[in-house]
Amino acid sequence: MRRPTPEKPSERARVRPRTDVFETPEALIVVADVPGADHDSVEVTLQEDVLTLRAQPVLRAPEGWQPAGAEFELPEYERSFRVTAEIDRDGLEAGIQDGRLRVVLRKRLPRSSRIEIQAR
Amino acid sequence: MPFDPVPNPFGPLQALRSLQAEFQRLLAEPGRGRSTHLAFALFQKEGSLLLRTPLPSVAAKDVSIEVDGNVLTLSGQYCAEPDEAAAIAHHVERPRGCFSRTLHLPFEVDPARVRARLERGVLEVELPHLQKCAPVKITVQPAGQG
Repeated sequence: MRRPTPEKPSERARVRPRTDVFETPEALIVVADVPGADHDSVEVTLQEDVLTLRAQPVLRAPEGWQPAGAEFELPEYERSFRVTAEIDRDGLEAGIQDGRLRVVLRKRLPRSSRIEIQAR
Repeated sequence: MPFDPVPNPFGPLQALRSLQAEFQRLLAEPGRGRSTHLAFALFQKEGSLLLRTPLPSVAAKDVSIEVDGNVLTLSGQYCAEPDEAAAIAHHVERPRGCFSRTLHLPFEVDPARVRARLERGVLEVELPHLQKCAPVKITVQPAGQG
């Protein structure tokens, strides 16, 4: 996922998105709310053991309309987590839909080996 | 200033100033009709108001918009993450359950022309003013006729 160049980087607040972290026997699942962001404005990286989510939503004023008051402005989102589980780096998945970013980090499962008992 | 200028109630900008003051009052009163943390941004053009609010992780079918005169009620339900039942939650910040917010607008809304769309987790609702009667042009007859 590429990261577009922000139009006015110094004027936008940068906040930590509200995030949930779940764990299943097979994977860690990270879900973050990034309203206004789409596939082109999100970046997910795993460097060493640090997972970083970034989003720069672009939402312009609708054409032909004049602003009449606002309680919010879409910020830039950025958040990092240290991942303690052993992760299979070939099994990373990320998707975004309805302003919800979902990242799945599959665990590296310990190899089990079956030992045959030899009869004498 | 020794005296305040008296605004002309029929001036071309007076209606606009009145509408702007009403929007500022709506956004400045934290308790009025605000049952959750839904945040609004408003845009206007002649005869219509556009409301924008972030609703991430909400499906369009789970949003309800009700208009009654000048009262707009926006409500709905956040989607539960499908994996939650089978997973251990280590960290939970995203909202759950229902949301609702009511706005008392300074005009009556035409419910038949309300349009809404939910895209990238941001809801936009266009609220046209209700035109109670179309303007009628009256021809002035010269004296001695009719």
